[in-house]
Amino acid sequence: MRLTRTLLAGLRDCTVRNWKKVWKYQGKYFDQPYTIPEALASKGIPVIKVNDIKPVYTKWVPPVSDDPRFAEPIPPEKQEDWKPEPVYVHHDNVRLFEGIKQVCLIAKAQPFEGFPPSVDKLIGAMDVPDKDMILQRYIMQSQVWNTDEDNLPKPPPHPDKPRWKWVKQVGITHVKSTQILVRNLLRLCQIQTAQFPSFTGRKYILDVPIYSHIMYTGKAIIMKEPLDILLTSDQDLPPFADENAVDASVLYKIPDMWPIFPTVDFLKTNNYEILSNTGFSSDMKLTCPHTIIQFPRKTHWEVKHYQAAQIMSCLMYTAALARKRFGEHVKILPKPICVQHVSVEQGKFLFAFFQLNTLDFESDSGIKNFIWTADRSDLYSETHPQPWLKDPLLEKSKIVDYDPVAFDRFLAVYLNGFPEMSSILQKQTEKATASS
Amino acid sequence: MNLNKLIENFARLAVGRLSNSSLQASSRNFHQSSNSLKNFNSRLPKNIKIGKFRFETHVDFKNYTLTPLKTAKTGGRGLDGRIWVHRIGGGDKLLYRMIDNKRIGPTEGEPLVEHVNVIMKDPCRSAHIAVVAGGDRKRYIIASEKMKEGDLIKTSGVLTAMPVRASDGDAYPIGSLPIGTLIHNVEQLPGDGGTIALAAGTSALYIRRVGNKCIVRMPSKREIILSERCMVVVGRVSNTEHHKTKKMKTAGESRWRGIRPKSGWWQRKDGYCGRKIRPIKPAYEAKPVVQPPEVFRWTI
Repeated sequence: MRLTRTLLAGLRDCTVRNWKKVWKYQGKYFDQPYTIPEALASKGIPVIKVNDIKPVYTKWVPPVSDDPRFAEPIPPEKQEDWKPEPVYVHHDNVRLFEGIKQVCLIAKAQPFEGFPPSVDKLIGAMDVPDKDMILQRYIMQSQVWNTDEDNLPKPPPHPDKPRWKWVKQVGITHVKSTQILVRNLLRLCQIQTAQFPSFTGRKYILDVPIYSHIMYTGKAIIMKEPLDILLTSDQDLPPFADENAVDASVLYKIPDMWPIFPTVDFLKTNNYEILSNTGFSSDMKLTCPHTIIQFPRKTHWEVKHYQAAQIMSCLMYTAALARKRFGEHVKILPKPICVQHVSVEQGKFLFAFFQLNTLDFESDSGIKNFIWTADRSDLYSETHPQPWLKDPLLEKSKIVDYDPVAFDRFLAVYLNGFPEMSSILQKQTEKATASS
Repeated sequence: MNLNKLIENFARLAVGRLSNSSLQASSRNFHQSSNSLKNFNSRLPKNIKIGKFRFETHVDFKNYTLTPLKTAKTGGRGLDGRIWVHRIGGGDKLLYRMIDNKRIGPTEGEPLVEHVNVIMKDPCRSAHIAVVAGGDRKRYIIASEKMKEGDLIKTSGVLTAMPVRASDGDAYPIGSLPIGTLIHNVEQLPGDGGTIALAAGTSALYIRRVGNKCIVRMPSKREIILSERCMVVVGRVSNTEHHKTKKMKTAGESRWRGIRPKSGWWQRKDGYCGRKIRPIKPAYEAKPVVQPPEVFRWTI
């Protein structure tokens, strides 16, 4: 709209009605159609549209080229690992919605409930002196006897008081406390097994970086993430299921998830590399994987989501290891690779066991991999604080329901793979028969 | 402040980091749907629509996410710092979920089938929402009345000569539905996304057909003329007992919703909220938005 004399004449009458009236009739300016004069056209002078003329601005360049103050992020297209075809990504933030059902389709696996029989008989096989006292001290050390003052997240809303204004709380974060607890438990396990000769072949490593992939129906699923703790040994775990069970898995049919693809929850990226990195070079010793321990950063998931994440970590690690051992294009493994997984979050233990038999994810037929998952076992539980009741006992959260069964299972997982355990178990059975 | 600059700044705030050329378009077509747009009663021209929620600057609306987004409180203030809408301030924090009102299916072959994973509440609207997954995609849609977890819903863009037998929650072009069906999530223009009958318990009625046009009675009892290719969803919107729930349990409940107390006496007319009762307006037909004329910035 042009500011003309007639328009400004409306300023005498400063009402909205007058403004609207003037705007209605004189607020539009229709430009004449675009024509080239004949004189110019005959001379052949080029005519350029006004809007085609673009101003050329010179970009300011910092005097020092690598000055960090003016550094700009590199766009993903210009990074080194950019590729035109995207792939799926799995990391600790990805929640597989259907849980075990979904991960069985991705891993081409047959699920079983509970512990594998070889690990199940190790539960309670070894007595720990003063177990309850030591475990309760470990719990107190990780939760209460600590001087950390980090800012804690707000507690989840209570159904009675959804709008309660929480006082800002400081203390130890849940990841840190689980780290302390798990390292203490590992030390307790090491003390029990220090007498075994094969104990020298065991160690554990923190933050092992893995960069692995699997090919699922022609597309890659990659995982680039550090594992929190990796227990290793000098020899592989004995397989959880024998060859007959592996051959029998040909008959098993994995239930479908139609109309959803199992890859629906993964993210996509163009910045990736197809690698099989297990975190160790070939000249290192004690690199056979025994148990992966992870501390989930998400606290609101259901059990099935944590279990699916456990299996994905196991699958990715064993796939990378299989490709390293048996060649890049291996499909059916000459010898199965087994690994155990423990997911710990504030005393809540989840155990999973994985046996990799095949890397052929293209077809449904053929032998399957094996998965064992057990129900959650809590070493302790924590009460929800209720400061509105004005009871000093309920004002802060309390640690209740101590249950040492979780540690017994953890110890059984640790003891799996020790050749000395077979003789101990035999002695125990002999004693039991003699007493009866 | 200059009007153009004002709009441009608002779009930059509301929509996040975007190039200058796509600012106005993206502010109008926020998340590819005009559902979340609202024209505030302001001194701005009426054709400019402004997003209802203000988001953080790093949020990119071109990437569809299931993660709920944090929203900021405006306090009823516009970009110029003045009050545009009165009686707004405070309240609970709301997480915005990207609802996809574009139920567009394949125009040939078999329909798109989706699985209802979860039905949940949404703080930003009265209706319930559903997480549906099909193929390699997951999205939020508005849940219909009889939708349950584990159901399979269809979406087809095929315009059939004979009316189809549709079940609750399925989406079809309105031309292929029988006359007299209750529908919701109605598009005004084909491919534009549903804008009519989205609130809890509401539904529109497919009355009659005249040639290629279909006539629908909206929840406001007004009639609208639609193209036969406009997609609609069969059934009523979920949370049908929303109007029966007690609105005000405590005096502070309106403050939880971000509404400040009103002052003065409001004379109630015969109609709703102080309005007069007027006869229903005649049926109308939505028309596509005409591109504004070219602006010459460089003149001699």
